[in-house]
Amino acid sequence: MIGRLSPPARAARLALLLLLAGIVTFPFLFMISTSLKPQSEVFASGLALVPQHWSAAENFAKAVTRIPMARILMNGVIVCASIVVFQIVFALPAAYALAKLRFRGREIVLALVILGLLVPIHAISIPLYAAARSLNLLNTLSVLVAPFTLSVFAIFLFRQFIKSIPDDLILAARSDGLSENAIVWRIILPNAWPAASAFAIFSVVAHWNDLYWPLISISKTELATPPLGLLFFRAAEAGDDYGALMAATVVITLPLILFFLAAQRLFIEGMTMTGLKG
Amino acid sequence: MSAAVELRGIGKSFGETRILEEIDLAAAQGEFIALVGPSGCGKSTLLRIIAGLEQADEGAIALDGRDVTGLRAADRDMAMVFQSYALYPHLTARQNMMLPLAMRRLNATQRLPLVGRFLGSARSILEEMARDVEQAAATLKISALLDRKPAQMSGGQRQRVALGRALVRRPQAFLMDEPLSNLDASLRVHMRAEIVELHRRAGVVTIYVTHDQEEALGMADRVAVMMNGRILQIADPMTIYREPAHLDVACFIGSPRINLLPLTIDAAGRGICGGQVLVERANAAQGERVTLGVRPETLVVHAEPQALSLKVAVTRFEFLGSDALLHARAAGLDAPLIAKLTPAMATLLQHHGELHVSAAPEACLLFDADGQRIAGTQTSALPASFGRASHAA
Amino acid sequence: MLRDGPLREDLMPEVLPPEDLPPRGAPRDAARGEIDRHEARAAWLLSLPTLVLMLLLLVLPCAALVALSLTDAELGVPEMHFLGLDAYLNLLTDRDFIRSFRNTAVYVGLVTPASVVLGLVLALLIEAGTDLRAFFRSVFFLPVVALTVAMASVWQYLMHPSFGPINLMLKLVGLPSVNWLGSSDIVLPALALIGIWQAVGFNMVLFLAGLAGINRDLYAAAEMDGARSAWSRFWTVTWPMLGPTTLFVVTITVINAVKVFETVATLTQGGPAKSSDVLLWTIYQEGFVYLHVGTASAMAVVFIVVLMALLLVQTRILERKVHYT
Repeated sequence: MIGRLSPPARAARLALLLLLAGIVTFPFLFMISTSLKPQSEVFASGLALVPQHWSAAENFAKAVTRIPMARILMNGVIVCASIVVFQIVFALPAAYALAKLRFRGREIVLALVILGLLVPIHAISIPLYAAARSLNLLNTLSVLVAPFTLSVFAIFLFRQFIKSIPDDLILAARSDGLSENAIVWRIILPNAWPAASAFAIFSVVAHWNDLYWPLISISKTELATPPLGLLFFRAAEAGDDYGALMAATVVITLPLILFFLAAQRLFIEGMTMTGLKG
Repeated sequence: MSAAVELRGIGKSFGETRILEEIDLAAAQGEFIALVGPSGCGKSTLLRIIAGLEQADEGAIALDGRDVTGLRAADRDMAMVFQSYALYPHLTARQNMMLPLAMRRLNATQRLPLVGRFLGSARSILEEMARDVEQAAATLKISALLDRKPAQMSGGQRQRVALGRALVRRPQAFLMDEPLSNLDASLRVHMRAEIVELHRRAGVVTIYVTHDQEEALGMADRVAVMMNGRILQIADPMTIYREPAHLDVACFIGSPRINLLPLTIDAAGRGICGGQVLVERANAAQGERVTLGVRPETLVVHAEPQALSLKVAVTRFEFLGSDALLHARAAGLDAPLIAKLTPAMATLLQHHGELHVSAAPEACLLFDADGQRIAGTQTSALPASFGRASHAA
Repeated sequence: MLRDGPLREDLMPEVLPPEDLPPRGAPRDAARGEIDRHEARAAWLLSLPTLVLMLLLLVLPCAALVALSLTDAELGVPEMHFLGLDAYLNLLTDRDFIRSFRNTAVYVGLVTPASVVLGLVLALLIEAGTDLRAFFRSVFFLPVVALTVAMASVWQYLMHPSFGPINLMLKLVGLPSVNWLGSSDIVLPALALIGIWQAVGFNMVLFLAGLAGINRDLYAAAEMDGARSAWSRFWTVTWPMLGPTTLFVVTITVINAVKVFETVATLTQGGPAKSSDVLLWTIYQEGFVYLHVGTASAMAVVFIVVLMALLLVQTRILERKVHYT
């Protein structure tokens, strides 16, 4: 059905999409615009996108000094990266065993995976919090990572993917003398790379965004992840200093957006794949 | 009477690529025409243009003398069978066959689910549609499958439902795009006969796209051989095989492939290959580059040198059951020569390391440097039987 | 680094005894059993770390959650008493919990249809032509990768009652301004608007993937069968073929909407007057602000049951209708 639009239909499609794109990007435009404006202008001339007096420097200075912004972004990076690495390292061997090996108890493990898919972290946060408290783990970066080292979703996704890898490849590897562990890392991982990268993107987006668990387990500003950091910023910023707040949102939103713009295909395909198989 | 389907000067490009060039074709009422060619030759695009699923850049299409060039597929009254069958997977066989009838015989309100059923006007049409579907299903022997969905059927059964969907509304023309290529070999041979029979009974023109020359030759009244967006030749199957108009047609049609020998023409107009005169009268000027084509079954094999024969070194015998193939090489020729023999003949010859081959003048197909057939070398009449020229051992 | 040749022969005796094949029957089964045991051992070793994590992070917390929900435990209070199902029975009459449950349902009821339909419309519009496809796809996907808490702050500014750009625009066209987040009637639709804005792009890419999976021949077949208009082709081919995708998109949207938390925590904290209290916010407040662990656990169990019920509806009932195999 491609390329058969009549010129008016083509123009109508473009016009409609541009209008909708305008609506969707409207918050981003105002976010950037407001981050450049002095407070007086925010109150006075709401709809002008270009400021009359530029206060970008002032707003962004506030954004990065009121809270330890660099530290908070770094926390986000460390936490997200650790989570992804642990999730893949733990999930891949289990997924391989579930997909390709026969063993008694496989059904029980699979049932646990399904159970895990049904239970969100939010629901079991109370026992997890109690455990973290008794282990003196609250207000550490470890507590931000530990509960997420298990991703049943990763196991599920990888298992689906590994099932489609031909058995002959594994038999050939075995007859070439590779141990099962070596098969996982030298044969399965390279072949499951599309699934692994898709999952990594999905995981990073989810955990970069997560507020619930950090809000519960972290109370120190310097250990905050970006969403929690922004809440601290809002708390520290009494009143309606929207210029500084928008500057802070720009700084905190930018990393993932830049990552996305640099690897759009990978992102959209990754999210689609994890979405469709989840 | 005007042609059932007539194409004049059809041309089509996708971007820079020229897909179809100057296609002319006229199919008579009730004729079965096969479009055959290698993949990418434009045959499927041509079929979609005939269907109205694609628009041609140039040229005109007429159905029964009525110009339909600008008409949409839905308004052309043709039915198509797709390679993938394109059955609606959410509908049963019955509903699949009913759908084209509903689209044409019912209006939008009558088509509404539930509501339409209770409209008096719709009821009699619905009953008639149900009868038509039953009838088409009986013809195709799929009455028992009518309430199954495509996923619950075998490939062959889906194929029949797809045919049924095309048949049920009695269109002016059938278009088929490689309808048998997803079936296994034995079923394919069986379905060929069935499709020919369906075509004969329906009595409307059928245009059948295939890459399989056996299907084309075995089923069609006329075969159009397409290459690089052009129809190189259109003729009845026997003419296509015996009298190819172009070197590419000769090469594409026939298995094993036709033997090609480059000839140089001497002052006397004789065709010479490897220092041997192979053709007495080549109808070509001296110095011209000419290609001689000889079908494997018309290549004559001799134990001793003969007039107009070429010495070859035997490389291999291949026993195929009803036939045997002799593979041989001639000095100075890149491609091996292949002769198709009877097994008895092959047994006689198999211990010879060296043999001589020739071809009767009427079996020599000559092509000029552009691949065009050189006139004057045609046989005056087709031999009465398919028997080969005698092999002298 | 694959080894071959002689090494492979060395391995042979271990895998299949090449000579002196045992007669049919017991000895051969024993060899087979050896291989099976070896495979099972490898499987358990590979799964072991995950199994330990499952025990620590899934099974034990779930058990503890259920256990806690049967007590009057409070955080920081060392003793607790077994109360049986009291906490659950109390929830049935707890007006705040019921309100929170209803608010969540309203939020889900607003976000799901709107973001699914808009996602489908966007996907169809993008798929209908060739101009600027990748551009639009990326633009509509932007909200998915933008930090929710940050964008919630932006929306707070946009929806500010006096100088927020949305109200300024309403004023421009002569409409009265709306107290988006400050009025108890409007706050849920306002939060839903943000939720829709963020979910549409994700739903769109899922629908785009679904559309790409439709056999093009079906459209050609529909056209040959007499489906003249894009409208009738949509109902003949696109909509039925998108069945599994649509069901999946609806499920994902519902589940994500049920888990709404970030915008509420950032913008309204359940207010005004608890009119934007949603399940996760209530659980969070009950457990971590009022420290009523028993009650919060019971709420969490109810929350899990609701999610399970939704997924059950998907897999057991609806899936049969949209998968055509």
